[in-house]
Amino acid sequence: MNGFDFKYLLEVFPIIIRALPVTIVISIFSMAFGLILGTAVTFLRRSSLVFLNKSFNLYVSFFRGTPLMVQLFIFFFGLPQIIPVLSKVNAFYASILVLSINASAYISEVIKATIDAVDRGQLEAALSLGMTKFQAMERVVLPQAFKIALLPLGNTFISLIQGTAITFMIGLKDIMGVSKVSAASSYRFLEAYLAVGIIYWILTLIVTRLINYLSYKLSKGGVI
Amino acid sequence: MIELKNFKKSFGELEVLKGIDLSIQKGEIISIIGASGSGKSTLLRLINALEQADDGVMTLNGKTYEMHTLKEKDKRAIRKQASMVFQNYNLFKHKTALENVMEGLIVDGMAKKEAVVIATELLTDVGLLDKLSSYPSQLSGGQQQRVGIARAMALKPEIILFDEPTSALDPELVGEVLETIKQLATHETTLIVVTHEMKFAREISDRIVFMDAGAISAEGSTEEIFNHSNPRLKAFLGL
Repeated sequence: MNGFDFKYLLEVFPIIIRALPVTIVISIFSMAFGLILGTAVTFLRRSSLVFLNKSFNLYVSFFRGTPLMVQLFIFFFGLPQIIPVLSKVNAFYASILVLSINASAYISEVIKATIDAVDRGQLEAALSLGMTKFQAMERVVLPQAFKIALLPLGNTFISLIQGTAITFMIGLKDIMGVSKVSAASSYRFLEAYLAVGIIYWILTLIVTRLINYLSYKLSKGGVI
Repeated sequence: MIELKNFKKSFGELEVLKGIDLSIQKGEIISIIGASGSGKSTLLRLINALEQADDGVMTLNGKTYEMHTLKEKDKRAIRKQASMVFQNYNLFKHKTALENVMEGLIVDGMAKKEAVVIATELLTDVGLLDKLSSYPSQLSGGQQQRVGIARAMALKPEIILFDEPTSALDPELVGEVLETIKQLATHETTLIVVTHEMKFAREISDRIVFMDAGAISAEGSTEEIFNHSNPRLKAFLGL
């Protein structure tokens, strides 16, 4: 069993790749929900109602301040103790939910900073054209903020993809889960984990390419 | 047609406006001059409700507004009648020149097609027909400011407020913007221009208001202002 079995490495790739849709679906859904939730949370944090902004600052502080794995365990193993109905949520949905909430905290930090980075004159010009505050945000400030936010949000997405690796701990058969099973049954730990590492790496490279392409496209608008 | 009564504003301890009264006729062209920090820009920003006044009443087109308790609806009503041209242009950076001018029309509910026609016409008026699809970053300061003027005109406001429209420009670009404003001066629109361009103020104004330390220290026709005995005004004009 010693030494490096190159043949096994090649054999285990297709096995792990079969689970790739799980990882990709969880990543994309969590990012999408995270963006919506993170944007909403940002506005709640900017609310003039002290109760709201304090609560959601606490929300961001907690979800950035505790490990993703702890959050996943609290939700999946802990909360059903006091809310029994949660025990019916399967690992797939639980993962998306927890990853979305976790991502929303990071995304909110990014969006908050980029809204502040958009020149105040842009908001004033929008208002002075008779826009409501909502219209000014939607039509002028947010589109510019998202352009500035694109690169940091790309980093959040990459962290999120890699964060999905811990969902195997609640029994999900994502690429990490499958590679762990393969490793355990073949005792070829190095090959199996190397294979899954390479797959994560390639995923990250693809996403990086995509983000760079988007940011190049958007830079033509002259904002970034 | 627009009347300001007792406009007051402080930032913390600093009293920026000490109770401004000003009444302006329809179509009148007013220049507001004065040293930096005398409250000129703040006055414009209070009129446009970009800053909340501490006190003051404004009558605009027969409707009276309590400026320190404006509701969002009132602010929008005021802004649609009084457009602002900013010192730093503040064009929407992610939109083309054409889209910048269309924006106010579209949020006001106009169909896109119609807005394109009007915006194209206005940009032609300010000499930028060949720049319709340029982004602000691709335009010179003078061109950006002319787009800013077209954008303000698009709403067909009663009043256009110019907040030092040429202060951020390179000297050689000042002329084209002043020329554009002069063209406007022949229309029916009321213009309130905060400016440091004395020659320009003298040429286009029906009336000049001199502000000093948060108050109107002198006002009158260009003749009256340039022959005024007020020592502060004389010093400011370098006479």
